Amino acid sequence: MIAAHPEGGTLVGRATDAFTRYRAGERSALDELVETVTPLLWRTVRETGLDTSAAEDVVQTVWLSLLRKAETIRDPHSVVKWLIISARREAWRVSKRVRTDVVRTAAVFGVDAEETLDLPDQRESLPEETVFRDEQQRQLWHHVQELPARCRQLISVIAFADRPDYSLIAESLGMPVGSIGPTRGRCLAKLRGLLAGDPHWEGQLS
Amino acid sequence: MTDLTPHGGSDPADAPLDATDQAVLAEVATMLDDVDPVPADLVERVQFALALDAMYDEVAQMTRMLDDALAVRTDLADAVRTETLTFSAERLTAMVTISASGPGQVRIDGWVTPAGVRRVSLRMQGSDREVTCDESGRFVAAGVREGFVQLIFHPTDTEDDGGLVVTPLFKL
Repeated sequence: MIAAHPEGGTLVGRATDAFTRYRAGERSALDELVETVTPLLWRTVRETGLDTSAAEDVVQTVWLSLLRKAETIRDPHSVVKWLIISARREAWRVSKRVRTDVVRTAAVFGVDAEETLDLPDQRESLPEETVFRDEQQRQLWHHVQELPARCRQLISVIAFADRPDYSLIAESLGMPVGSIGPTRGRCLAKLRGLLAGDPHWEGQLS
Repeated sequence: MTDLTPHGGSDPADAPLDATDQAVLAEVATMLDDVDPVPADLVERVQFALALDAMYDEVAQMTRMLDDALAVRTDLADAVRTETLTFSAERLTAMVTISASGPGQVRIDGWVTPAGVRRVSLRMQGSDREVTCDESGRFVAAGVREGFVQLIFHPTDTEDDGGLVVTPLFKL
């Protein structure tokens, strides 16, 4: 049997371990893999601008594709990279096609209370004030939106990973080597700069 | 922890990741979890969709759309909830319309091309079902309980190299 977390228990390590066991015939390891990586895929897809229901479809499609192509992934360590790249590709493809449909559908559902209840959680791209815990969190959301799109994507996805995995995930997102880890990188430095100039954040973390 | 202000002089981007960076990232994760959480049952639904026994060759791409004709209907009391989904794969294209047919029940009307007699499996939590496309490629599944369903399209009678095409799980 393989030791519990041979790669130190980071997200990529746990995913690699689960994928290896799945390919060795342990069916339940696939469920573990799904549980481990889905939050990262959710963020990756949502950062491309898809609404929640389209994002759910994309996440499912990517997993179904993995099941079909599992044998073609030579190095189990690259399973997270494969999933992130596939998720971005699928999300861009879908967003091109459905953007107009989604807008129209939401507008129609918006006038029909019963339909709205039937729908999965639909959130505005600008969250309502009530979803924020406090003013500091609200400001953080705004500062993250102020970042260039690529930086926003990187920061939002990286935030759900473990430090040793940053470089691999940044690379999977198509960011240049060294965009984060071991150094802070341009994107995080920008966010730090924005927070440093915000009275709600000044001194909060010191 | 250190001061938020980047140190003067050298480029702050070149500084090593420090505890404050980690704290900021943790705050970002908490904020995103509050503002845009992973839907509660998404993991379970993915696990269900992956638990199919069949070996499949393609995952159909799903597009949701609302029927325009119904969208503009003004008599809401009379309106029937109808949704149309399209599925595209290399082997086939399908259009599926879901309409409410009674309390908690829906009717599924499908049309698959290329046309031909083929089986369509409906995988649902709790029950599975199978219907058959007629020669024109149409199929009907009436009296289906509301919930989530995953479709599996089988090859037609006349296809030699027919592999299975599966869809993501979608809501009825």
